[in-house]
Amino acid sequence: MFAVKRIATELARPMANATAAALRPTAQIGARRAYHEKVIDHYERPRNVGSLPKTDTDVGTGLVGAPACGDVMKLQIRVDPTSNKISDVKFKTFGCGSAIASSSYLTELVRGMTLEDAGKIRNTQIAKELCLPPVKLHCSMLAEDAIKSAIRDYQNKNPGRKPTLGPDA
Amino acid sequence: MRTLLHSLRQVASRRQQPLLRKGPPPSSPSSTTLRHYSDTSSQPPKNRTIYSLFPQTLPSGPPPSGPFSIDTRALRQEFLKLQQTSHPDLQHSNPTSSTASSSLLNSAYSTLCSPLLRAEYLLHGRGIDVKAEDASGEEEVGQEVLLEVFEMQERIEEAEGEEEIEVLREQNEAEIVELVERLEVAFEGDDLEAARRLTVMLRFREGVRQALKDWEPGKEVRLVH
Repeated sequence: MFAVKRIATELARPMANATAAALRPTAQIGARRAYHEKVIDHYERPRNVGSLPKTDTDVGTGLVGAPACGDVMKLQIRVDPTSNKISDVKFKTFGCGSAIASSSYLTELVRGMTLEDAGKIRNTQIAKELCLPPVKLHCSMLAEDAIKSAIRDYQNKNPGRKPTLGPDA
Repeated sequence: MRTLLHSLRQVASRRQQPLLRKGPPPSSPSSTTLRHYSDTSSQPPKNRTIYSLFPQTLPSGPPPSGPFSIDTRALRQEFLKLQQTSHPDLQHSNPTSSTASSSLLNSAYSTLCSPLLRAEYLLHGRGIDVKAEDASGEEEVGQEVLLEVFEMQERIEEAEGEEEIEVLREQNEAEIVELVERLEVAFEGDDLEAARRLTVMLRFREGVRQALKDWEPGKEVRLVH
């Protein structure tokens, strides 16, 4: 538990400045539980970092986090109104390596998906892909919350086009 | 899942653990250590909290019966006086119990001195844990709070010089003062939900305070918690 926390502290930094210098040695200490290589990969080379214009009507923004810790995750999707598919996606996360990796992987996952499919993503899918240990499952839950929140925001902005497919259509 | 506040919080929580674990649940029986104190007095309910360790400074006990704000100078004087009599070096007759009360006093004193730790202690005693890491989503805190956290994190990250940091420090200190004032109102009105939200923000602001204190040009800033 303590070892995990210590490594988490090493990894914890705002992602835009993510330099991996301090990461490798820590992650390689054999006796300690380290992050899985997939987490490290996303942490070192986060995909789709940035932001989309929040006020665009075809952009949905999800903002979730645990404010007491200063952890916060912003996920934005641009939706093609004709196909109802996610045409672009950006994120920015302040948090530990698992939180950054969860949101980074999520952006890869949802790009090109319909809103209906993206809304069905479960945190277990993210946790499994990144091999997150139990103490880090809440990071994947945050990512699930983020995409749901972004979809909801888009639907609130575009009430007319809400459901085009699926049981609610 | 962590940024700047981590080690800070770990240190604080480790130090507070014996107290926070037990807390002051009004209905549960007092712990062995606390009973040592309540036996010397005849007012049962308040004696189950750490407030009863300092009867001179905190005669009316915790909120809502007493105020949230504390005269920390008076508290310090009473603490030092009590420490003189409970210090293990001076208690040869019964070393075990005096050690317990001495460390209990220490940790009670540091909890009461800090508005954040005091608020967390009071909420914990009422069954509310503000440290839960998975507290996420809008229903827990609200979008404006998340936006505030996000923007603050970005401003720290983008700050380029000592002057910008100084501006952020001043703003953050002002926020802390305001949060503590609002906490006082919330606790005195026994509005626990408001107190919980304010305590979450106070913890964030304390983390920001530490991050800004540790800031150096070129050095990467992170919220450790």
